Amino acid sequence: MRVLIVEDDVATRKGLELAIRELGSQARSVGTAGEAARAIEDFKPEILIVDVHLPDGDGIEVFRHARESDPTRDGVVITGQASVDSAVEALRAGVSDYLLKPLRPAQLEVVFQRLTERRSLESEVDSLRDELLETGKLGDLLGLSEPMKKIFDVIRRVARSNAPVLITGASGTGKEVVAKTIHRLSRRASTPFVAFNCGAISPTLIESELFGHERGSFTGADKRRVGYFEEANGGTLFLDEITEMGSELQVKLLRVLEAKMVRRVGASQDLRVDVRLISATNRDPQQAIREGKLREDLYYRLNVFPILLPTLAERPEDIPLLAEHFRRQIEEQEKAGVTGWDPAALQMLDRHDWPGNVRELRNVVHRAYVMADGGIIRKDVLESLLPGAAVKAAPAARAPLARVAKPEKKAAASRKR
Amino acid sequence: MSDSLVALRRFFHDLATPLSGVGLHLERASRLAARGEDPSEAIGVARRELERAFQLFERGREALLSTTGESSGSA
Repeated sequence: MRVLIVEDDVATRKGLELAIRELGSQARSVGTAGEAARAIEDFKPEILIVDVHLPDGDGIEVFRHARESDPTRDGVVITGQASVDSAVEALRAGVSDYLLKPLRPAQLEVVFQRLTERRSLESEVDSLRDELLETGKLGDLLGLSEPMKKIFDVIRRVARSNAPVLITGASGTGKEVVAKTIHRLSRRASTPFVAFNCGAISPTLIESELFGHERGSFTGADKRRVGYFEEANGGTLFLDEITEMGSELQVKLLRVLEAKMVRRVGASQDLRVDVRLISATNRDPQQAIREGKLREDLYYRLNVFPILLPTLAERPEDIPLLAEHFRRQIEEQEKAGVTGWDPAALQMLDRHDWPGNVRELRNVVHRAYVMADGGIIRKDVLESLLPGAAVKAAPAARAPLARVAKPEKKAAASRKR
Repeated sequence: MSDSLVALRRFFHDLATPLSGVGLHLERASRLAARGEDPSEAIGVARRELERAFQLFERGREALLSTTGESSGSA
């Protein structure tokens, strides 16, 4: 990381320069706005640490100028005179932090490390984006079809924000995988991701699971329990099957989202939480509202960013890619030497309707893998697993199918030798 | 803002600068020493900055005492 320090006091300037080098970055320091303008051109800093008051100008103006030529630059402003006006001006100019003199080395280290961590996360997002363009992969999501390209685009945008997301889609379309990918691409990537399925637990217990409880707050509460909101503090909480939550609890959830405070069952005080909420349902939300399964006010609060996942039948061109991806995953775990696919077997996958979506495909691939007994996955194995697909007419071969089938040809050829 | 408040703000601003130098250079000295390297230069800068802070502090005290009519030498 290249860091430019702009500070007129020599001892502070040199102290900062050496401290930044100690933290593993390249640092250069100058004492005036004029020198800073030249150093921005030559040194091309990624981060600027600027004093507000410079002998020949304003440090915030220096940063603003640096951002004009490269909007990805970050800035930290330092000043000996705190004022609301200069803080507001600094934030408007896009600086990440505002430090007051006298500078404490520990404080500087925290601010600097937070900044470099965020920048490295952003660079990870960039590399994931490149990976996506090359391989059709975003995190654990896979797809080259148009519907998935649109989903990837939405995920990348949503990941930058802290706003709530509501994922809708049929069972098995990968709602939790999408939620995890959003978390992984977000600034919260290094913080907890906690998933909770509201449909998997008795409605009477959901409140204590989500918000926690105090000892003795109800029969059986023999010790204090931290809820999922507290566990996810600083990170992301994924609430699946949100419409299975009772209406009364939906009101409490709405309150938590608005106040950013939770109260354990039986507690008398609220606790502040910083949680990004991603929720999901396999129902049509509008219909769930009409049926009284989802409160309308909560829906609007959750649905800041809606993501509707396509069924597998709506993106059939991704089936061979996904099938091969799952085969590789399973091969890594089980190492049975199942090295690829018979092209006719892949065509059969293409003929099935996949009502259970990606989850069903993964299960079928796993069973086929086990039954293949080494070598490649052949058509006859799939005929027994997908009897309906065996009699359906084959669709025209798609590009990903041809691509996935290539390794199989090599495998078959090598066996003949 | 009254003149005395302006002077006070100025005083804190001036004092904060050498104190930053003291903090940064002492931290550097301690890191150098921990690595078995010579920290004397960093300690020297920290000492000079501390001296600057003392001078500013004393000047501030003189100014304060002169406005209240007391002598800086009184016990």
